[in-house]
Amino acid sequence: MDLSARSHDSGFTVVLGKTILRIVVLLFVLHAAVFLAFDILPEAAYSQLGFAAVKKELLEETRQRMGLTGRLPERYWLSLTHCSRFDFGVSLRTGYPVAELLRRRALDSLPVVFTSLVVTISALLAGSWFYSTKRPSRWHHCVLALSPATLLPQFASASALATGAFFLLGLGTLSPSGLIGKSGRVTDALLITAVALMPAGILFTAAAKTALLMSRRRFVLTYEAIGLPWSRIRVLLQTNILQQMLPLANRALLALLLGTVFAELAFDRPGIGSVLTEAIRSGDQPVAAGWFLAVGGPVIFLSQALAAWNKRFPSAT
Amino acid sequence: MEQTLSLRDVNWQTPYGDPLVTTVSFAVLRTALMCSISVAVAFFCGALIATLWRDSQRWLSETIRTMVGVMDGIGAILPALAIASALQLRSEWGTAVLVGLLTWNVVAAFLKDEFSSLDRAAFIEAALVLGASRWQILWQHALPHIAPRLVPLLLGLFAGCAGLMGALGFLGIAGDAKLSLGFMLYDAKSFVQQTPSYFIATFIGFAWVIAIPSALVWLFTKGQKYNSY
Repeated sequence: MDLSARSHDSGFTVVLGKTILRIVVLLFVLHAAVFLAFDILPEAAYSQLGFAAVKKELLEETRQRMGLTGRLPERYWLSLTHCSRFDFGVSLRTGYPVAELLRRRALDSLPVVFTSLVVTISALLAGSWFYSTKRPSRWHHCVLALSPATLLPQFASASALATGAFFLLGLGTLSPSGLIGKSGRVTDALLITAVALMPAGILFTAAAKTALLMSRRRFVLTYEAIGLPWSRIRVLLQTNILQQMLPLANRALLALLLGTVFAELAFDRPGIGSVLTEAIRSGDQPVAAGWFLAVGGPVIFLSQALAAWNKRFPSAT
Repeated sequence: MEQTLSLRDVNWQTPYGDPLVTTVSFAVLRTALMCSISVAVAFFCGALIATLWRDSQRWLSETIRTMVGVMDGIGAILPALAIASALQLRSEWGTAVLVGLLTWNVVAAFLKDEFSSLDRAAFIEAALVLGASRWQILWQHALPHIAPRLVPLLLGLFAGCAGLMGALGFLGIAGDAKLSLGFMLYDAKSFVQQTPSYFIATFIGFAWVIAIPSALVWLFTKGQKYNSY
């Protein structure tokens, strides 16, 4: 009878059960927090109309329109049932359904986010592959020493890249060839760089440092002793290094998301990131609340799933 | 015709007609002050929660552990964005306090670990045997012992708070926009063709706020590495 297999399965079930429970609780907490923040703390109607222009009838009408009438538990239940059907209400500014607006803007951002994700994963693999060496060269050290520069706050790097693009556009140095422009290739490349710089930097630096450490481990000596060539050892090392990077995946994805928000604002591009800024600046609270619910849910799910994975399958080191 | 650029050609005024160096220096000092407030709030809340975490019942300590894990997982920017936009924060002081309240988890996790390791430390037991009070142990033994790790943590937190406040300013959400380095960076983009010096000065100003604490952290940790040999 294989007792170890059974204990392994029950351990997995317990971790899975706890994780699902935690995710459900956290999603409820997220919804309650967003509900409290956007529906109760500031009087949404006041913030829409401005304190100077408040008339009782107008205020009541706005409250009716925004679903802010009724008792608190009723309003909470209504909000919860709507959210469970992915109905986040209607934009105050445009009258457009929030869920549909977010879906369309997410589709606009998809090419940039996908390309940035590919760049990020490439940086991870490059760090892991090129630094799996026992004798790092001067170039290895030089690149690794410069890599913390990529951890500059994302809004600052996005701003610098966008300003660089606009400056070049203004001078007209590259514009005759059509390379620079609102949707030119260079601008696209700079936008993707702005989104991917920090997540790629995080993963590259961590993977490179881990690879250097791994390459000096005893099991590598064993591999060498049994006569494995370094090319084969390097391939074997990749699994260990990538497993070590798993706890950072959540942070990198979060950085990718925030990078999209800042880069879209800096480059004046419509997308899932800029919709939040527009909503906040114009006081369109249903859109802002819907954005936080639509984005916060997957972020919580992912962070908890990765934490559970890491707990269940801790890395070899 | 070949043109040479000298310092006299640089526009030393902001697009709004204010003196450039004074405006940026004032914004840098203001950001540093706000970040110091954020760090103080984070330290106070973190210390309070670390004490609760250590001394409380299992369910409470488990709840705090989960909260720290969640806050580590989702980071501080998204909650800060949500709260600042929901509350329509316009005061920079309020933003500084909010940033501090959202970064306590770093300090709490650090202090909890340090307190736990100090529980078993021989020099603390010796001080207790000699009749030292709780405050004496804290000020004369515990704090000097953890200071070499606490100071870099707080400096790192300062840089993190500067980034967070800059990000909120960049989005134009919190604080007085004209005085925020983050918003100035966003704003400078529109004037880059007329006054590129505005963007460059603001960027250098912000880089100082981030780079000085980061360099100090590096110096501290490097010094500790040498001391440990």
